[in-house]
Amino acid sequence: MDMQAIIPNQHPNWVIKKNKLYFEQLCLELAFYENHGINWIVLDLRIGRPIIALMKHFSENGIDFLLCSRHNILKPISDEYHYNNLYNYVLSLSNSNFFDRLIKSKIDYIKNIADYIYHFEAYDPFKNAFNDAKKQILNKSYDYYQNAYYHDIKREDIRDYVSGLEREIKLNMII
Amino acid sequence: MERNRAWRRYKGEVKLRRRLKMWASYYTRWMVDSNGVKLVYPKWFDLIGTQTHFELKNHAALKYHGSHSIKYGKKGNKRRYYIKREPFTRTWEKRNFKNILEANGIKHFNITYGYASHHTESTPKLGDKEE
Repeated sequence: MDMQAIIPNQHPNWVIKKNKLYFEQLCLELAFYENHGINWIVLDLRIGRPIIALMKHFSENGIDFLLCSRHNILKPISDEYHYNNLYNYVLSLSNSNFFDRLIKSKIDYIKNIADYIYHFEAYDPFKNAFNDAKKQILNKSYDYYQNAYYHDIKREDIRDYVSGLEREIKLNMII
Repeated sequence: MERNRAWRRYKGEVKLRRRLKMWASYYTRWMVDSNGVKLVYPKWFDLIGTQTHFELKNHAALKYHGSHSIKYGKKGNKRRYYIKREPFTRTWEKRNFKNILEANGIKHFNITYGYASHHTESTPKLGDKEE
């Protein structure tokens, strides 16, 4: 793939090395690589803004891509590999900055997750990963003295989005 | 080398990188990175995007960094022990500088935190009554 065509904007910190795309922020951080004919974008929230620009650029030009965890780069494909990737897919929604930018950029995130599951036939790892991430996002604690519940993630729209995510992915897969 | 905005940003990044390395090697045993993944022995670049990263961005020398340390100039880079050999403070240096100037009979600037006003005949001193 032509790496120069992939770069989404004229930011000077984009670096190409050995057919991989990096973004430089205190150190070189991998943003894109190609493996076994699949375009992997690394979902790294250390460089959340450039990653979303890259995703938007891909979806506008009609290039298929899948997202990968930062700790999972170039590892052999297994159930654990899919679990980590899909866990990262769901848990990164809890970051409010990432969530706002994702909705503003109008990227079809749900379709991307459905594509991942469809491509690797990884519904069982997704179920485990989604349940674990959901438990973490919707976690709340009870204060006896004030008789009130406190959520770990304060924003209600994020919690609603995550709780209805599995249903929408199933619908997307059927279509 | 021109000391412009880009140079200052580069120097700030060097400082930040050094601080992050110190934190990652000594103080952290396990932590959560920006993606929400738990790490046992994180490297310095795992700390980017976390709360500690933004806290360490502060360049100002605070009170608890040592009142006896020099906070600017060549000697400021060196680390010193907490022994009161010389009071290496800004206030002491200002006072000392003022005394040296006065001993040599040189007029000096009025050292205040607001404005630096010069003692001349045209401008009245503080406390002088106008006639």
